[in-house]
Amino acid sequence: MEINVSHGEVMTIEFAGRLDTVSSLELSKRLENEAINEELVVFDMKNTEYISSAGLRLLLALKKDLAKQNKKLEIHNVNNVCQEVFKVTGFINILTIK
Amino acid sequence: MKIKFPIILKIGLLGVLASSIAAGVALTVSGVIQTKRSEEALVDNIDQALYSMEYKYTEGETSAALVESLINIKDYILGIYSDEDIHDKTLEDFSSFDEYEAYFKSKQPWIFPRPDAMDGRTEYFQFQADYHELSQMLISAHLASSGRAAYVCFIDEDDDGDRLVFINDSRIFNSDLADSFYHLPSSHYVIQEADYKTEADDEGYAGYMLAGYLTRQVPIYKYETNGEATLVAFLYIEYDTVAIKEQNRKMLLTELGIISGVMVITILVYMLLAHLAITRNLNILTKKTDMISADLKEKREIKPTKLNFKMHDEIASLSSSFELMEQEIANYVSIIKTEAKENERRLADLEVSSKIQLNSLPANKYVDGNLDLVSYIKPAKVVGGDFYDYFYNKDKFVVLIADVSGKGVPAALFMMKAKELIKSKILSGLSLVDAVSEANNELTINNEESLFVTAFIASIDFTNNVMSYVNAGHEKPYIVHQNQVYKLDGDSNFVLGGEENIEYHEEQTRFETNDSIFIFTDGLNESINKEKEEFGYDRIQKTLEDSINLPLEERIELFNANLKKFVGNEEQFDDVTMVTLTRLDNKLHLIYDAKDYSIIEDATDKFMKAYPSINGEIKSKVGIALDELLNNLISYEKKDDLKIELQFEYFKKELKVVITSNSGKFDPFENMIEKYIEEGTDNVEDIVPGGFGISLVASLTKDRSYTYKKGKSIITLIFGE
Repeated sequence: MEINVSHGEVMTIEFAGRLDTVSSLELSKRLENEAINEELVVFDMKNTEYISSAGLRLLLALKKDLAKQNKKLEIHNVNNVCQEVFKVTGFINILTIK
Repeated sequence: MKIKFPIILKIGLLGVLASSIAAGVALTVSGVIQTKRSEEALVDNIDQALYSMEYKYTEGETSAALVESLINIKDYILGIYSDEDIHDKTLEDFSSFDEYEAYFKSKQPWIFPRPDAMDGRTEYFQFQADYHELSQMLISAHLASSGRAAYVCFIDEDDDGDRLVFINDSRIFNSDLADSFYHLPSSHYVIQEADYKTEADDEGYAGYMLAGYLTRQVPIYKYETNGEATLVAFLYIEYDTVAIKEQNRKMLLTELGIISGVMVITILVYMLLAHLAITRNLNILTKKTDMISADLKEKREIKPTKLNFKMHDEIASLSSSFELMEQEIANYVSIIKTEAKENERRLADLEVSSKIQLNSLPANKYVDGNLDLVSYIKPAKVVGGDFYDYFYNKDKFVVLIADVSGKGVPAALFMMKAKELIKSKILSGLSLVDAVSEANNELTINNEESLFVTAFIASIDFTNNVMSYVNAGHEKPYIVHQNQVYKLDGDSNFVLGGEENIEYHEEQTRFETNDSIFIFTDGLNESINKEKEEFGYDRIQKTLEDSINLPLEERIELFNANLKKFVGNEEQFDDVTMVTLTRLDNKLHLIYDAKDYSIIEDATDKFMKAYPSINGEIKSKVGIALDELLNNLISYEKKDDLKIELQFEYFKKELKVVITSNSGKFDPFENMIEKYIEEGTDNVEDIVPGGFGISLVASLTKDRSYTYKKGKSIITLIFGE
C-alpha cells in the first residue's frame, strides 16, 4: 500500500494497492491531517488493485466532506474490477468517475 | 540485338573479293597474252615491210636501178660529207643546237627538196628524184609496218671509227621533225653506240635497241656481174615497245574499269536478290520472334499468324517450322496458364485445409488450477498427419498425441477422423481402454488406404494423483519428477486403424503436483542432420534436463532451438509435434486463531502468491470477498477464541474458497437484502460494513453457500470467469 498526496491547482490522492478495511483506515487517518485548499480533489486509482466496501465508505465520506465546502471529488483511472464494484454497488451514480 | 554487320554485306563483300580475284587473274593473263600478241603482230608487220623493201632492192625487177639510185644518193651525200669543214664538225663545236643547225643550213642549202632551195641543177634533180623515190618507199614501209619510223643508213668507214650515216627517213614529210632535223645533213647523224645489238633472228634480221626503241635492220647489197656483193646501206624499221606496253596498259585499265563497273552493278543486283531471298525473310522471322518474346514477357496472349513465304526454299521451310513452333508455344502457354490457375486453386485449398486442420487442434497454451500445458506442431507439408488434443473428461484431464502414417491430404483427413473418434469415445463414458478399442475398430472399417495412427493417450486424475495411459505404438513420453527426467516405460500396444478387435492395455503411473510430462511424435527424435544422424532420445533427455526449472513455453523454445541447431539446413521431412504439461499445486490451506485484522492482509498475500496463473480480476474479487467476510467475522463475532480456516482450491477454471470458523450460526446470504446506493445518496451511514459488503461479495461470486455443521460455520464461494 502506498499513498501519495500532491497539492496544486488540484489536489491529487494516489492510492496504490488494495483499498480494503485496513488500508482505508490508514488512508482516512492520512487525509484527516491534510489541509484541503483546492476546489477539486482527484482520487487517482491507477494503481489501486481493488476496492472493498470499506474503501467505498471512505470515498463517500470524502465526497460528503468536500461537498460541505463546495468542493468536488473526481475518481480517475478506474480498473475493471473497481469499475465492476462501483457498478454493482450503485456508486457509479453518485461518484464522478473519469 | 542490334545488327552491326548484316549478312547481306558479308555476301556482297565476299562477292567483291571473289570476283576481284577472278577479274584480276583474267585481266593479267589476257594482258600478258595481248601484249605478246600485239608485239608479235608488230614484228610480223615489220618483217613483212622489211622483206618487201629488201625484195625490191635485191631481187625485184627494178632492184638494180633502185640500188643505183641509192648509191647515187650515198655518193652525193658522201660528196658533201667529204668537205673537211663539215666532216669534222660535231655538236660539241657549237654553243647551241640552233647554231649548229644554222651552220649546216648555210653550207648546203640545196640538199633537201625545199621549193625555195631549188635552182635547176641537173645533178640535183637526179638526186631529188632518187631521194623522192626512197622517201616514198620508206613511207610505205613505215605505214605497212605500223612502226615508228623507217630509215636508211650507210656505214662510213673512217679512221676514227665507223659511223652510221643517215640517208633518209619516213618521217621526213609528215612530222614536225621534218623542220627540225631532216634539214640537217645525214652525216651528222652518226648512230651512236646502241643500247644493245640484237642477234639476227629466224628471218635473218638483226637489230638494236636505242633509247627504248627496238629497231630491226636489213642490209642492202649491190650484186656485181661476177657475183660479188657490196654492202650499200642498211634499211631500218624502228618500233616503240614502250608505246605498245603503254597502249596495252591503257587498254587493260579501260577493261578493268568496265569490268569493275559491271562487277559492282552485278554485285548490287546480287545483293538485292539475296536480300529479297534471304535476309528480308530472316528479318521478318526476327521481328516475329521479338513479338513472341514481348508477348511472353508482358503475359499477353500469343496469337499464331501465317507468314506466307512464297518461295519453297530453306527459309520457307524454317518459317513453316517457326509457325509450328509459335502454335506450340501458344498452346503450351495456355496449358501452363490453366495449370497455374489450377495449381493456385489447389494451393489455396491446401492452405485452407491446413488452417482448418490447425484450427481443429486446441490452443497451444492452456492453464487452469490443475495444470499448465504448452503444445507445438509444425507440419512438414502444408497439411500434416500429426495431431494432439486435450480436454476434460469430467474431472479427469485427457491429453493425447498421435501420428498418422502417410502425409498430405489423405493423412490429414484420417487424422481429423481419428481425433474426433478418440475424443467422442472417451467422452462417451467408456473406460480409456474401451474407448481406444472402439476408436480402433471404427478406424479399421473402410480403411482402404490402410492408413494407421500411433497414439499416446493419457488421463490424469487429480483426486488420486494417478495418470492412466494407453500407448498405441507411439514414442514413449518422458516424465519430470522431482528434478529427475525419465522415460515412461510400459507396454506398447498395436497401432490404431491397423486391425480390428485389438486388446489394448492400460498402464498407470503416479502423477503428482509439480510433475511434468513431455510427449512428442517421431518427427522430433528422427529429425536428421547433414551427417544423417538422428536427433535421438539422448538429446531429448538432455533438453528436458536443461529445462526442468524453465516455464513450459521456454522448454518448447529450447527444444526448437536445439533441433534447429542440430538439423541445420536439412529439409524437415516429417511433422514435429510436442506437448508438455505440468501439474500445478491447486490447493492452499490457511488457519488463523487470532481475532485481528492483520490476518486479512496475511491471507490475501498468501492467496495472491499461491496462484500465479489465475486471472488478476478473479484474484481481486477474491481479495474483496476476503476483506468483507473476514472483516465481518472479526468485527461482529463475540467469541474471543475465534478460529478461522481458509481453504482455496483452483480446479479447472474455477476457484473455490471455503471459510470455516467457530462463529455462531449466521447465514450472511440468507434474507440478503440487495444493498444499492441510489443516485443522490450521500448518507455514509447507509454503507454499513456487513450487509453492504455481503451483497457486494454475492455479486462478485459465481456461486456461494452457507452451512452450519458441528458448531462450524462454513461459507463456500465459487469464483470463475
